[in-house]
Amino acid sequence: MGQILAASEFLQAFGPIPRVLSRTVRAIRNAEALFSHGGAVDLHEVLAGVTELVFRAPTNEAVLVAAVEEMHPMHLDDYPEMPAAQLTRFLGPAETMAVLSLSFLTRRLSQVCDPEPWGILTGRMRQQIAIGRILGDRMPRVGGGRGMLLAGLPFVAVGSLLATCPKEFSQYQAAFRSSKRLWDTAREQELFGVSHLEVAAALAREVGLGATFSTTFLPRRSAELGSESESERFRLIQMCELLQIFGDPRYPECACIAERFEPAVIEGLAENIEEVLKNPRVSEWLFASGRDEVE
Amino acid sequence: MMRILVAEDDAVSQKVLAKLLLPFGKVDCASDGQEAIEAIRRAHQQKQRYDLVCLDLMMPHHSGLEVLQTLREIEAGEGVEESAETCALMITSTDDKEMFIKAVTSGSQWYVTKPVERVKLYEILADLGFEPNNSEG
Repeated sequence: MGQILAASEFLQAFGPIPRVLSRTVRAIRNAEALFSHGGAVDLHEVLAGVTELVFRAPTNEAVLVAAVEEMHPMHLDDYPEMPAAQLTRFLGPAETMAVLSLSFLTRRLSQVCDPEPWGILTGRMRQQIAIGRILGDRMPRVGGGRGMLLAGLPFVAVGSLLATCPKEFSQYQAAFRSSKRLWDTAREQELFGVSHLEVAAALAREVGLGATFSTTFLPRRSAELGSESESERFRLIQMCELLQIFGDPRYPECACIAERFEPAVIEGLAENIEEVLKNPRVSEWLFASGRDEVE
Repeated sequence: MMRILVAEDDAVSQKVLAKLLLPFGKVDCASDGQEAIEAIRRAHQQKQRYDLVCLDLMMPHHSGLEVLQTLREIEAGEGVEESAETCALMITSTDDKEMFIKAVTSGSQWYVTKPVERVKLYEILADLGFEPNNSEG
């Protein structure tokens, strides 16, 4: 039995989460809720307005440019003539939140984690984030950006286990290296006192992603689906299940996908995901850096 | 028990909002910006800070934004961390872009447009981590 800590204690690995980050993420969600259904106000203009401050930091700007370059390459013609925050129009609200929060958290962990296991983790994380985007795109109530977050936050949470309890983490890795499983939450409970999903939930709230999103990572209560937010949660939970399936090394032999999800969701997935797995440079925007780090 | 301040100059809207929030805790009301600032100052002096303030954007004497600015200044003076700061909902009948940007970048946790319906309000509060004390209301 290792040291037993609460989920919130693992958040200390990230240092203080800057107020500008959590405020911006919350403002993006608020803008999305208010202005994404048409009307007189242009959502993209609002998005540029609420992210202007955060993208003044050179590293955040570099991440944004790299993310647009990778995910929406046809749109960089006018940059750098246009202000960086205007590039958010190509990502949209959810991808902007994903890029901003995942890159920040990854940078913080890169400063405190043992490089070797962290390198292995981030290698998988880069692929899973791209897969999460593909899967999320096929589920309209989830979307690519939330797909990226659902895929990326668990890896970042595992990184916090590594940063906080490196000794226990090597036992953890050794325990399931041979089993080819991606995670072992029962073993995590034994060694760390929490699972990485509990840490991911706490982390999601800390960066401003809200309670509805963050509880997706926790044990489900999906039987009581009634309200709008519960049905949103259900879609997010479905997405998590898909990610677990694709995190399984037996992929693509997982027949259960076809049984549980609509044909439109799975059509052409295999080819797209194979492309991601073959691309060594996928999600490199996570590690883009600017002239200097301002946080 | 959670402490809530509703600052709204329209008497009917104030009453409706206060009733909707009653299941969440004890609700105080202010009818203009000045009253809201005084209530906030008093609460801080008595070490009984509000957990949630609902501020109408357009109020006599001081706007919701000015009240929010005062609240954040008081908190900054006391060294309150973001995780412990009073949650502020800015309530308005306008969905003006500039106003929205100003409100959310000044430290308002959520910007709500009128009419404030029960389902919408409760979903926002749940997302911000507030649950009603009972199922009635």
